Amino acid sequence: MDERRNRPEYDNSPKKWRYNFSKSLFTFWKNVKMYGDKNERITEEITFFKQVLDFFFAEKDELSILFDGIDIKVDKVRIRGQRQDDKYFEDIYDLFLSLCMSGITFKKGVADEEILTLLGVLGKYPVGREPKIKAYERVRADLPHLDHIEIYPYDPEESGNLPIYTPEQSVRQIYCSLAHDYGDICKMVDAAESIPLRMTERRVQDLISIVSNAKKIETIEFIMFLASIASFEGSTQSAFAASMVLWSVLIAKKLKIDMQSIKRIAVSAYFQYFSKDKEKGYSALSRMDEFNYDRIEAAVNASYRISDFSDMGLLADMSSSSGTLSGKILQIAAYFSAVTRRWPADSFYKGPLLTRPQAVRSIIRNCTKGAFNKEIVEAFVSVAGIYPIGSLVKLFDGSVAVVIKRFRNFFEQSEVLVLDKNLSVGERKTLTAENILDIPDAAGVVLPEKTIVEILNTFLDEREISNEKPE
Amino acid sequence: MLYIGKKLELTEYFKSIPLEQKAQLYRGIRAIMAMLVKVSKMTEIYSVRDKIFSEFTETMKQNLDVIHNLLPFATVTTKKVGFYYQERKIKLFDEGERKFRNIFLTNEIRELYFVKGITPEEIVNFFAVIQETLNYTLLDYDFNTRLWDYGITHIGTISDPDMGDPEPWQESWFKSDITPVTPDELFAMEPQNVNELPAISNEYNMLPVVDMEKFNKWAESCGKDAVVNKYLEKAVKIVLENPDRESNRNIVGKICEYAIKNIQNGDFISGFVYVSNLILLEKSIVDKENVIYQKVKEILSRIKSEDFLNAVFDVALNIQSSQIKSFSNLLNIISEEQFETAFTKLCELENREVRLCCLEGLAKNLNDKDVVQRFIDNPDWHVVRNFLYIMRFAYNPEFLPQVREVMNHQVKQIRIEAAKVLSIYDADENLEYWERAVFCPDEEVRILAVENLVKVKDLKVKSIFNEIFKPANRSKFNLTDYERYMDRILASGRNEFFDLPGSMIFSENRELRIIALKSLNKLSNPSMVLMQVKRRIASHEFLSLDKEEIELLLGLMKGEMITPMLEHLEFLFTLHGNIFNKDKYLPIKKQVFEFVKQRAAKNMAMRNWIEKGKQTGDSETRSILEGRS
Repeated sequence: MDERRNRPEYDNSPKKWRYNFSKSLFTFWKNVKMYGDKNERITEEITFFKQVLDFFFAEKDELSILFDGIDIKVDKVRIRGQRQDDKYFEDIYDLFLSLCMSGITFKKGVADEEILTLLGVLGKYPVGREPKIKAYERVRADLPHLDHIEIYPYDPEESGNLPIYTPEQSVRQIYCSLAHDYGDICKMVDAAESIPLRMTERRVQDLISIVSNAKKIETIEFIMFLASIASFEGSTQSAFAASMVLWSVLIAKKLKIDMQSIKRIAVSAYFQYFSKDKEKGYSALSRMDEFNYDRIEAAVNASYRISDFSDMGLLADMSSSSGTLSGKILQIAAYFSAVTRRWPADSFYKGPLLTRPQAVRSIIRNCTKGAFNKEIVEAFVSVAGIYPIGSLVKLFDGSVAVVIKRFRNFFEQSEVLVLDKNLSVGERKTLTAENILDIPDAAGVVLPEKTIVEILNTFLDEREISNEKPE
Repeated sequence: MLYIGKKLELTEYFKSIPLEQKAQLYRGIRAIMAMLVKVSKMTEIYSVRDKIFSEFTETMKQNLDVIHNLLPFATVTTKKVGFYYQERKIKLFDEGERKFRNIFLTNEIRELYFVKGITPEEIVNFFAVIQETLNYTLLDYDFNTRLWDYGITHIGTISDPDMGDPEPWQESWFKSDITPVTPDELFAMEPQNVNELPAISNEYNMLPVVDMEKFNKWAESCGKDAVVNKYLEKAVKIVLENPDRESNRNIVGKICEYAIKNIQNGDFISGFVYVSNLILLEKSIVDKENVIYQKVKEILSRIKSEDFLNAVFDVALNIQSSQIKSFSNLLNIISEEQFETAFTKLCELENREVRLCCLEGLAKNLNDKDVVQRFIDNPDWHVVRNFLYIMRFAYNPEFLPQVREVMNHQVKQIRIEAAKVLSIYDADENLEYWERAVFCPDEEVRILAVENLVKVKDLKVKSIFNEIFKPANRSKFNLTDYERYMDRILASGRNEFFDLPGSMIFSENRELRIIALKSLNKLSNPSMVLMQVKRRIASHEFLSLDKEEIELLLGLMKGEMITPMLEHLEFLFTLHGNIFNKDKYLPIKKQVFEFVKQRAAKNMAMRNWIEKGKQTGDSETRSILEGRS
């Protein structure tokens, strides 16, 4: 039977090529180990191995296979066998472990001879023994200098002792992974692959735990700022999806919804707009190995969502929400995250472009007309405030600033970061909302990357822990 | 679900503790890991709820408590080559160790924590997580996600996504597909007009008043079940739009799979929803050769098979009350083809609530006279009674002969159940059975008989009632019976029967009189017995009645009864005793006058009556009415 991965739609799937790389490395190494480096199948092996390398070299200058004591990672992505005939993974583990080697890097331009030399040396040593650092030293001594291949040692006693992230670092890692993986997931819809939910679930669970246990308000403010980021790795859509997750968790938490439901809501948020075609999204999420409510709910919400974000569209479209709790929360998370972004021309988006304060007021206005659920809107407004974090505002002295703390109302003081003439982060100012003004033309404005990084650093470098606890 | 911050805190704490009792801790940890390896092997054979795991749970709890007395948490490092405790390899000589360790390797877990305060429930759930992740590499969950899903807070892990060297933010991450704003552009942008601020401020006050209680109720109502319904509604719509599309086969395949799985796992609520949608699909697909149609048909016949029915009952042994209704609905579907088996299985079910609910559901599928006859003749009276219970909800005049047949069954429970069944049919047609039932030894049957007799149009029934109340038959009924009969007769609203309770107020038996009066007092308008009441007041006996009976009689003074009753009581104004016993009627006069006075404030006729009494009454009357006596 024809393998699924050999179908034409998988031709450019990195997942497939990562798999091919590990398998090819294994068969090549075994071949050289058993029959030497001059046997009749060498040409065939090397041709395929180079073909795999060329796929990655089309976009990168080097490709690594790394072993950290537990996992094998190809191109920084963990790979592992998923089927019975994938037992060769065990042999790759053993190869690295026995030789106390933590990785091999192949650089663009690598020659057949270099590859053959490396495998010839690796093939000389037995595998399956207790790892000893001397094994690596022997390999190193045997291996001549190769211009396009590097190998690295591994210390079995040191493995697994990396520092644990702080909650803020975890939030960053969660945000970046959510936004980074989004593009790949979107491609899976068209490639008719099963959408992997596990990592999304894991990230969402960690995020919910962090929000639920946050000991300082800065953690929540940091999350809100991340939600305001317009684009990630050149994709507005990815940043929008991550923003949806963050907002849905914050709103649901405010509504005191149970943790399991929040998880389902957040997973739905991530996938709600991942396919331009509602039915394709529904079908993609319906491809599942095991019964999973998160998938079911995500599939439902992918097929009921706001299509037209204009006031008219909101009121006219009866299928803008599934009518379930998650559907109603996602309506608000999607609306706020979408209308405050400037979208590329080929996107799904149809609707107005608003500043964050304008968007909050628009949500309230549309709520009075029955477009949104009032209790959810109240929860959202109490989390976002009147000038949501990430808003660009003008002070009365003419300077421009970014809101970095929530303004609950016009009278309580909060904080902004003033931007200097080069849009670098300047002074941090404490003032009331009466002293700042929204900039209507700044709706959808994208700040330079440098400015965003500087603002983000103010959250992660925060050494002082405020006494203000999150609600 | 161990919070990342907590992990960090614990790790820092751990570093600060001198490990003086290292050997003891090592032994404790080793014992726990050895047991977990054993547990992992056992979970491949038994469910974690099996009692075999109780001992493991207890021992593990004891071992952890010993460790936690020394340190508030214990941590095991997982490496490719083995488990480690504080850089010392945990030597395990069990062939299952590698497979168990593989859970952690495939899930990127670097460390496993056991925090002080662990509960036996968490340990059992932890075993379940091991079971669920030991053999599977699934797309949707892994060890970490399952720990979170089970809400295990005292066992946690540190895995790859939780750790690493903090990387600086990279500007390239925030590259946008939209051109970033330049400083000049941004600074040139005009802020909103400051004069707009009051209007803007007002907009925030437009937020409608919220009702969290109502919201929470609504949120509860649209939980998992609502989502599943919505999902299936969409699925059916998509499939019916194009039943030939290949991707739709996958969706239908999954619906079929989950219909079966949910039922097998005891989730009848979801199971029923899935099965209902399959039935809908079966009905709606026109092309009977269609692959999806064939698949649905095959699954539905599997669900309706005897083997499946037996499996369903095995799962239903520990059914939760929230699942009963759906279980009943499901059984209803299955019993279309397996009525007798379903019924027999239900008779064996000990849970009464489930049994009754399901029997009621089964009624829809009872339409065979022969089946009725077979079960009515069953020697086990429990079976007959359960069957009759179904018949209460299966109206079919063809079944009447069988029901009548058991009206005189030797078992009381069957007689009662049969009477209940007979009650759903036209009472006139069963007059002779009800006439006999009135004198049945069973109280429940007798009352049902009266309830049915009052519905009979034939006036012959009046003579049956007269028979009941005949002094000769009094010994056959107790007083409660009479009270109930009286209530039923009066509640029927049929005037032709009212002379019966009316005449009872003249009964020689005081208890019967009181019962009749009590029943009449329950009516809002007892005017149909006015004649009898007037006669009673005018009778000689009236003046010698006791206080309670007079009170009950006066209690009938409502609505249309007031004026005529008051007129008939006017003789009291001038009633007095003889010279030797002047106060003879004072008590009754006082009782009646006080009764009227209390109600006079709200009733004009009563006020006029009192005035008339003051003007025309004797001195005794005046004294009472004016409050001097």
